Amino acid sequence: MKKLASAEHLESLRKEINKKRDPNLPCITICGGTGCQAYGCQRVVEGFKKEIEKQKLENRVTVRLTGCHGFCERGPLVVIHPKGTFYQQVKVEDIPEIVDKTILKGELVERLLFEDQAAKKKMLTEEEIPFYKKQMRLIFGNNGRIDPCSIEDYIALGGYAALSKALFSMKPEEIIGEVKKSGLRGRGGGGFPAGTKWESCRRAEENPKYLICNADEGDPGAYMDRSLLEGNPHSVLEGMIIGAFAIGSHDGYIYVRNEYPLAVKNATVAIEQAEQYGLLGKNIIGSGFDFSIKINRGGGAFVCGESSALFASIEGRIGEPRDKYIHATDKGLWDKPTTLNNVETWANVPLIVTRGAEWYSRIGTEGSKGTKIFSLVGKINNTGLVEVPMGITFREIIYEIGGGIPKNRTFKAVQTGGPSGGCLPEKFLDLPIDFDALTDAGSMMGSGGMIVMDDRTCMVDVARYFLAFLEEESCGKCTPCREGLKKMRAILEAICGGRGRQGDIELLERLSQVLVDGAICGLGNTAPNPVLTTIKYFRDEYEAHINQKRCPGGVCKALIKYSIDPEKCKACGACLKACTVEAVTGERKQPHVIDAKKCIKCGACYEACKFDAVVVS
Amino acid sequence: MVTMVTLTIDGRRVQAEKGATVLEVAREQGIDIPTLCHHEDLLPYGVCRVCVVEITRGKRKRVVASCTYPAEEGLIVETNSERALNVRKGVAELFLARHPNVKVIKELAAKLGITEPNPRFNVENDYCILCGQCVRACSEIVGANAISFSERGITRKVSSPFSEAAGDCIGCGTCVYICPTGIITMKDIEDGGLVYPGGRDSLGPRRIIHTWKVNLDMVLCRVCNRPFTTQAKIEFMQKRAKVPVPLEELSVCPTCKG
Repeated sequence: MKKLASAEHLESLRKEINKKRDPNLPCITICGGTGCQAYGCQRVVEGFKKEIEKQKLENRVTVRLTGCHGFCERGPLVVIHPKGTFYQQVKVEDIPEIVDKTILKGELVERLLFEDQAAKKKMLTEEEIPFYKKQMRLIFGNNGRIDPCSIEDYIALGGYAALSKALFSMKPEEIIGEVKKSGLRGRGGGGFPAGTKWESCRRAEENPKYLICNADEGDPGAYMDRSLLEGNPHSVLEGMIIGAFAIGSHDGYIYVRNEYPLAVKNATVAIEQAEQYGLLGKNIIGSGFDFSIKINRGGGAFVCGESSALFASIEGRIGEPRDKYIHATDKGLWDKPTTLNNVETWANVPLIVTRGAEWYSRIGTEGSKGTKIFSLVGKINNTGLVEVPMGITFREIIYEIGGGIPKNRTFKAVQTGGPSGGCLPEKFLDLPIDFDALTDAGSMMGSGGMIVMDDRTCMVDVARYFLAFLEEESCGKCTPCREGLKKMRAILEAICGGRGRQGDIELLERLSQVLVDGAICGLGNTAPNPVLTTIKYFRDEYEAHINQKRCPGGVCKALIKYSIDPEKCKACGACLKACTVEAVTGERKQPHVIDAKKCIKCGACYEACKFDAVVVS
Repeated sequence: MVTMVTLTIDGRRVQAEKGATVLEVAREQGIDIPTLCHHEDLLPYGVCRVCVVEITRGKRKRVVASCTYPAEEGLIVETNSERALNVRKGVAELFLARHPNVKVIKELAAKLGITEPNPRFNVENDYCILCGQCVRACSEIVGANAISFSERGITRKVSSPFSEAAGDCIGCGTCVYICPTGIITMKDIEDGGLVYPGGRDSLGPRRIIHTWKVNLDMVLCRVCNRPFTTQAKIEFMQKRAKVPVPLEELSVCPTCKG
C-alpha cells in the first residue's frame, strides 16, 4: 500500500473500496465482542465460512467478524445485511439452516428471532427491538458494521474524513473552538470540558507535548471502553490524531490494561494499518503534521486509571498518584504538558469535526452534550452496552431499553459511576441523567457503569462489597485511603455480621469525610461514595442491621433465617434436591422443613422453589 | 528572577516566593502545622496528610496538603479550619490504631487531643508508619536506591528488593538516622565471624542493618585503625565523586580528619 499523500488520495481510495462492495449482496456480521467471544462466536464464524464455501457462495456472500453489538445478554449475535435480519443466541448447528433459508431463499428462521416479552411479538431487525430502539448509537453504531482489524471497512464508512477535514481546512485553534462549543466533557469520570483542557495544553509553553488515551477501564461490571477499542479502534485513533494536531503534540500513547488482550491486539493492528496508509507517522496524508502512537500496557492496577498514577506507570515508576496541584496540561507525563482523555471521549471527536459543534450540542442537556455509553448490568433483563443521549431517564434505560427487572421483582436502587459511585433510590428513576444531575444526587457519571439492584439486595452489603474492592485496589500511599478504608470496611463487616453498634453510622460518616477531604487522588476522595449514598438514601437498612439485627434485603447471612411456609409448600422435593448440606427434610405430600442448625444459608432452596414457599426472614 | 506572591495565612497577609510551599511560608511566619512524612532535606511527598490546611481560591474551598501546595497570589489559607482539623484528627486516630506504641504517633495524637485508640477500631501494633523518609533519603540524598516501597494498599511496606539482602545497600545508615520511629536497626560489631562445629572464621569488623538483611565489611581508619564505615560506602563515594579521589583520602574517619 502506497501512503496516502493528500485528501483527494484518501477520497479516491474510499471510492475504490466502495466500488468493490455491492451493498445489495448479503453480508453476515457476527458480533466478536468479548461477551460473544465467551459464548463461542469464533466457532460460529468458522461455521459460516465453511458453509459458505461448501455452498460455493464465496463471491456473493461476505462473512464479517465485527466489534461488539452491545446486546450481550443474547449472544452470539448475527446480523444479516442488507435487510439487517437479527438472529440471537446462534449456535453452530443453526448455520446450515440460516444459509439455506435466509441467504438463499430470503426466508426467516423464526426461532432465532428476538421475541419481545411485553409485546409477545417476534422482532426482525435491531431497529425494532426495544433494546436498540431507544438508543442513539452515534459512537457505538459502527461497531456492528466493521471488522475492527480492517482499516478499509472503517474508511468505507467515511473513516478518516474528519481527520482530513481537520488537517486541510481547519486551524488548530478552530478545532479547539469547535470542541469547546460542542460542550464535549471527558467521559472518563471527571467530566471536565475537553476543549478547555486542550486549550490549556496548547497554550502551555513547554514542549514536547504529550497526548494520551486512557483505556485503563477497571470498574467492576463496566466494559464500554473495552468494547469501543476492540470494536472500532480507528475511531479512537482518528480522534487522537485530530486532538494531537489541535494541541500540537507529536507523541501519543494508548494506556490499555493488559487484561484486555483483544483491545491490545486490535489497537496494535489499527496503529500498524494507519501507519501503512500514512494516516499516522510522519507527514500525515501529506499535511506535514507528524504524530505517532505507542501502546503502553498497564499491569491491572485500578489506581493507574488515575491521571498522575497513569503517568508514573508510563514513566516506568510505581503507579501511584501524587498531589495534582499543578495541572497535567502544564506538568503531566515527564513533567511536560499532557492531554489525557479516555477512549470514549476521543471517539466523539471525529463526529464533532465532521458534523459540527452546532449539531453535536443539540444532543443532550444544558450542561452535558452528546451521548454516553453505559454498561447496563445487574438485576436487569437485557444486560449489555447501551448508548443513549444525555438527559435520558433511569426509567427509560432500565424499563424500556433494559426490559425491566427479572422475575418481576421490584426496583430498589441503581448504582452508577463504578465502585466509587453511589446508589440512587427509586425517587431518582425520572432523573434526567447527566454529569451534574448525578453529582448533585450524590453519585457520579464515572466511566458509565450502571448496576441495577432489586429488592433482594442489601444496601449495607453493597457498600461493604464496593469498599472491599476499593480497599483492595487502594495503592496505600496516603494514610486516609490506606488506613481509612480498612477501618470502614471492618465496621461494615461488623454491621453485616450482626455486630453493629450504636454510633457506627456516625463514625462511618466522619471517616468518609476524612477521605473526601484528605486523600491524595480522586480514587480516595470518592471512595466513601458507596457508604455515604447508602446511608443517605437507605439509612433505615443500616438501622435495622444495627438495632434489630435484621437484614431487610435478606442477604446478610448472620442475620437471616430460611424457612418453608407449610401453606405454600407443595412437597415437590425441589428444595430437598437443591440443598447440599441435607438441611431440608420432608416426606412425599408432607410440607418440607429446614433444619436451621444445618442450614448454611446458601439460598439454593430459595432459588429452586417454584411456589415461593421458601421464606427468608 | 524571583517572583513574589501575596497570600493570606490565618488572617495574616504575607509575601512569599512563588513556588515555595504553603507549609514553608507558614513556618516562616511561626505558624505551627504538624507534619509527619515531611522532612526539610527531602522533596515534598504529601502522603501522611497530617499537614492539611483549608484553602480558598476564587470561589472554591478545598483541603490540601500544605507540604506540597505551592504559594499562589491571592490564596487564602486556614491552617486550623474545621474541615482541615477533621482530616488531621482522623488521620491521627487512624495512625494511633495501627501504631499505638510509636512515640511520634502518640505525641501527634496527644497534641490533637487523642490519647487512646478508638475502641471501635481493631488495634494493630506496627512500627513502620510508611512515611517513606528512608526510601526517599536513600534515593534523593544518598543515591543508592537500595530500598523501596513494595506491595500495595493495606499490605504496603518498605523493603529491600524481594525482601532479600539489599544488594545496593552501602550501609551508610542514613535510613537509620532519618527514621522517625526508630524501627530500622543497625549494629556495628568488632569481629563478625562464621562459627561452625570445631572452629570459627574471623570476618573482621562488620556493619549489620537487620531491616535490610545486610551484613557489610567495615574499613579501618588509616590513622586510628578503628572501624568507622563500610567498604561499600567508600567505593560508592569514589564512584560518585566528580573528580578522582584516592582511596586513602576516604579511609580516614571523621574524628581523625578533625
